[in-house]
Parts: sequence; C-alpha cells; structure tokens
Amino acid sequence: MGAWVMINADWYYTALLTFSKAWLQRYYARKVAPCQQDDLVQETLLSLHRKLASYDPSRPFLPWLAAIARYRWVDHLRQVYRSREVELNDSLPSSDEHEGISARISLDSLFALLPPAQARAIELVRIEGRSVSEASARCGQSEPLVKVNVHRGIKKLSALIEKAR
Amino acid sequence: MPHTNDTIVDALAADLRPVRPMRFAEGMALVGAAGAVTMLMVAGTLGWRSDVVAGQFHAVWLFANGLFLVLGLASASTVVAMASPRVGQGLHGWKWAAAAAVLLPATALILLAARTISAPAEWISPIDRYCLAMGLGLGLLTATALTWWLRRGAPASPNRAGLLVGIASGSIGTLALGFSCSFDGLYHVGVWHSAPILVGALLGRLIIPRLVRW
Repeated sequence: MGAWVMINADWYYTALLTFSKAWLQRYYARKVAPCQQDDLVQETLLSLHRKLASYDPSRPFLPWLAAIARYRWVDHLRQVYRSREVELNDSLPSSDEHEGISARISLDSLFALLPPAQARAIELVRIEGRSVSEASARCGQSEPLVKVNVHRGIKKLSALIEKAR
Repeated sequence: MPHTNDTIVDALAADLRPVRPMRFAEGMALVGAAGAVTMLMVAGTLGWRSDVVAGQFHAVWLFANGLFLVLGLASASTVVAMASPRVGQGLHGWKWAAAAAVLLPATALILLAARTISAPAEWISPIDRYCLAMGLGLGLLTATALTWWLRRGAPASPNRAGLLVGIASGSIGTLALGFSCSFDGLYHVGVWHSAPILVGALLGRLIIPRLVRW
C-alpha cells in the first residue's frame, strides 16, 4: 500500500513538474533572452522542489508557482546587472556577449513601461553616463526636466520591480 | 551532473520526499510562544508593574501597549504569511496598524510643541536610552523565530520581510518592556517606547534580507 502511494505520488509529481516546466517556459519567454530561459526554468524548478513546504495545499497552485517564478526572475535580473556593473567598473571585456544582450532585452522590456521622456533621460544619464547638460542637449529636455525624469523614472522602475516580486 | 530540462523533471521526481506544509497557524503559534517567553523573561528578571498585576491600568499605558500589540500581531502575521508566497497576495493590513501606531509619538510631539504637556527635564535621559535598548533586546527572540520561519519558507520580497521582522520584533519587545517600565509620561512612552520599533525596522531592513534570500 505504502509503495503504491509513493509510485502514485511520483507520477503526480512528475505530471506537476512537467506542467510547471511548460508554464515556466512560456512565462520566461517574454522576460529573458532565449539562451537564458532553460537555466532559469531549471533554477525555478529546483526552487519549487526545495521550497515545497511553503506551498499551502488548500490554495491554488499557480499563484504560488508564479510567485516563485517572479522571485527567480528578479534575482536573475539582479545577478545580470551586478555582473554587468562589475564588468564596467573593472573595464574588463565582456566574457559573454549574451549576458549583455539579455540585460539589454530585460531593460528594454522595463523601459517600455515608462513614458518615453523618462526612459530617454535614464538611458542618457544612467546608462550612457552623460552629464545632465549633455543629456539635455541631446534629448531636447531642459536640465531640470532631465533630473526630474531620471528621478521619476528610477522610482517607477523600482516600483515595477518591487511589484514584480 | 548538470541537468537538461528533460532530465531535471525525472531527477526531482526521484528525489521526492514527504514534506510538512508550513501552516499559518503554526507560524502564529511560534510567534505567540516567542512573545510569551519574552513576557516571562521580563516577569522573571525585571518584574512586572504592581499596578498592572493588580489590574489597574494607566490610560497612556493601556493605549500605547494596545497599539504595540496590534502592530506586533499585524506585522508578525504578515511575515508568517510571506513565507508562503503567491501572486496577488494582498498583505497590506500592517500598514494601517503602523499608521495607527505613528499616532502615539506624533501625539506626544504635537502636544509638546503646543506646550500642552511640559517638556522633559532631559530630552534623552538614561531611562529613555534604557527603554530603547531593552525594547530592542527583548525583541530578539521574536526576530529569531520569524527569521527561522522565513528561512524555512520562500519569501518573495526579502527586503519587505526584513522590515516587517524588525517592526514585529520591536513591537513585541517594547510591549514586553511596557509590563516592567513604570514611567507613564506621554513623551517617554510615545517617543522612547516607539523608538525600538523604528530602530528595529531599520535593523531588520538592513540585516534580515541577506539571511532569508534563497
């Protein structure tokens, strides 16, 4: 009887993981570069397995899986940006071009949620490293407006990422 | 051996072991036990106030500690729930409790500014510093219990979880201290019994997230 229950549990768990894998592939397809999807799906499946105790069986499964997937995605973004920062600070050549492309894709998807003026101001000042006056000359916004747009844009991005958790 | 997406499902299924789900009631019982032990520690080491033991409560004492209790329960229950994440989990009740608790120091400061109550002889007296330190110290057990609970679970917002662990432990610590501290002045209770919550929140926000990331 015990062995039968375990075999059945294995079967159900395999079915659950297979469903989760397919769902995660669709979820991450819109969020990360294709070359990173498999790694992220695997990491999330491992997290799901390690944190099974945090699932409340009386509640629906998908919102729990989505919360774990979001957490892994945000963690992945943090790691990508951190490694990118180290590369820039140390003036090291990028060891993996895909990482940069992926960071760009993730950033672009976040920028798409901002008003164009804010996204442009952040891109010029925070990403390209231009001074406020240079950014003002390039984008046609006044200097105070560039500062305001950078501030508001960063605030909105932080809120978006925090909400995504 | 690195897995592919095809093999990882089989590998994880083969590794399936029975787990005990984290129940909300179990988490709250843990917080309750930590709070009860803290209260007993106060009773055993500092001693409870005789008027409170006799059932005679000062208005400021009752109002302040009622607020601390509500804030402690609201923030601790939020932390317990955060260990079992889900999308669309609207955990905002603690914010209302925190807003209500801010009324206490705000009232003290407004009345001081309006000179409705007299200014203290010392703005930061030794008893003020003692209550701040003791409130923080007495919250440590609750903070440890909540951190342990979060490490078992899967908190999806470690920064907010850390902040709330600090608020909950500060609230329960200062509540326990209130059973011993014999000062009922609005300035002392409103400002210095609220301070462990603020400092606890800052410490929790700084320290706890790195302990509960997964």
